[in-house]
Amino acid sequence: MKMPRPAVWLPPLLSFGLITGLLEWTLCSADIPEYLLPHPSSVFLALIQNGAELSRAALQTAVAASTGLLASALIGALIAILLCTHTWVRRAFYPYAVFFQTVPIIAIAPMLVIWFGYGLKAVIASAFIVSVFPIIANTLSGLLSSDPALADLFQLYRASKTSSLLKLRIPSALPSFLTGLRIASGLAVIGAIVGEFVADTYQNGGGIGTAVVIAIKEQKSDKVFAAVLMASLLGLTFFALVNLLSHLAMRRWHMGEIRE
Amino acid sequence: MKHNRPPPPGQNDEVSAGIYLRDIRRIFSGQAVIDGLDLDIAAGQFLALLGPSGCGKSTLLRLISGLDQPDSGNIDTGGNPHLGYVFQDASLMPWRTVLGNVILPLELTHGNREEYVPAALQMLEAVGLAGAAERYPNELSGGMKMRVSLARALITRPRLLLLDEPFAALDELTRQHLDEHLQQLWLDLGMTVIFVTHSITEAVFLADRVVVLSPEGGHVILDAPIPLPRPRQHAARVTADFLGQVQTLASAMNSGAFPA
Repeated sequence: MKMPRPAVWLPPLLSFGLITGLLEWTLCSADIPEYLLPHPSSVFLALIQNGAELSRAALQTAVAASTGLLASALIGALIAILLCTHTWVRRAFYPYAVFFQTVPIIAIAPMLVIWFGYGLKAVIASAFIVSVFPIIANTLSGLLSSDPALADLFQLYRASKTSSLLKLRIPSALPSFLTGLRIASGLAVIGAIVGEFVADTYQNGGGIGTAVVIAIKEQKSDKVFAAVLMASLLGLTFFALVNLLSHLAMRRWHMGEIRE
Repeated sequence: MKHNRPPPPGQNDEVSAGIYLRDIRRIFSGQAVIDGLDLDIAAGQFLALLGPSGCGKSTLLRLISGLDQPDSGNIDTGGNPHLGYVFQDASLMPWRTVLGNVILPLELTHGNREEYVPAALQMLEAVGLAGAAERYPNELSGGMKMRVSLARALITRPRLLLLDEPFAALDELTRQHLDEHLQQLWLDLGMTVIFVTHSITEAVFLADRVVVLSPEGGHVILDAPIPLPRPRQHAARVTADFLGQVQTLASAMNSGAFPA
């Protein structure tokens, strides 16, 4: 990957400076109290003051989110293959996969505590539940949309179902799977944080979600925003890692690689 | 696999298959695309199928290959000949090298892959791509991709080669080049060839015999031998004989009512 030119990274940097500057000035001149909406400068200050604590919290959330994401990638891909190879199973169960995608995780998160108890397991389950469906949906569509001419060729040479799956369908589905993984990576972080809202044990200080909850209780709004900023950074890191993985997996294809 | 030079085309059943079609009918959603077609193709013959889009040329190829079944009628291809099929798009696997793409048919029919590397390299040399074995499809030009597709179709040493407007998407110069190359491959290997095209000059340049199908119902409206000497050179395209043949076919296609 080449380093992007200044023309690419300069505009967002400038707009960021402009927006935070304007916000700072507006909040100061309008005399809005800090507890209602903290000044950007206070948020940065809180981020620096609580840097060690928030980094450790982010790491804890990252462990839960990445475990959930990994489980989603494996189980989601396997479910997609099952749905692809068994038409009846697909017709019977795919509607549920679509339906579950619309269930808001925040509404069922308290149930996860009942099922898994307080702690890491419930947090991982929350990350898994929100991230598995985009992987199933994307991988399945990739598995089902391989080049029809190649499918004809496999039929012509009397390829078995297994070799069609291994040599045609699964490789064809790789770009779609990676698209699903990219969507899932952001969702897994959100899922883990929501899980921490309800299920964290506060052991070792807890994750980012826990830090947000504690800061709200302490009415430290600057720390709330600092934690939110940290959560965004974490999501961005996940996204970047998955992009890197896509790049490595697809570098031979070139054309299928998505640049953003 | 032995690579002895095969006997000259036209009489040997080992290298070529004769095809006999009787009263073929194929109906798609109530409409007969092919309705009562009779056609005999001698073993080793190079036949060009000419006709406007939607006249059933591609359907006919699919029926002969066994990818599609007729609603009624008989198709006799002399048992089960090795088939080669070239589609309008090169339809290569972007995740495999050129070599991996060419080897695919042998891999699917025989299993072991490594064993056929020499045969695949030899076939790549035959289509003029000796140096490109380790490259990936996206690094190739349209013409080179088509050569890979041709090598893939020929790797099993088919007795019957079916080509469905293979060079239609290429520029004129590349196309003429590939026409000459295809002629040479046919002279060397001696299989029966059915070549679908909508270019009259391409049909005249390549074929022993040109069959024109009607726009509707897939009837034979013209069945003409092309008695030009072989090998036909690029310069042959501007001789009076060549242009005379083109003229005859063009007027037949325009009138659409030429007696068979």
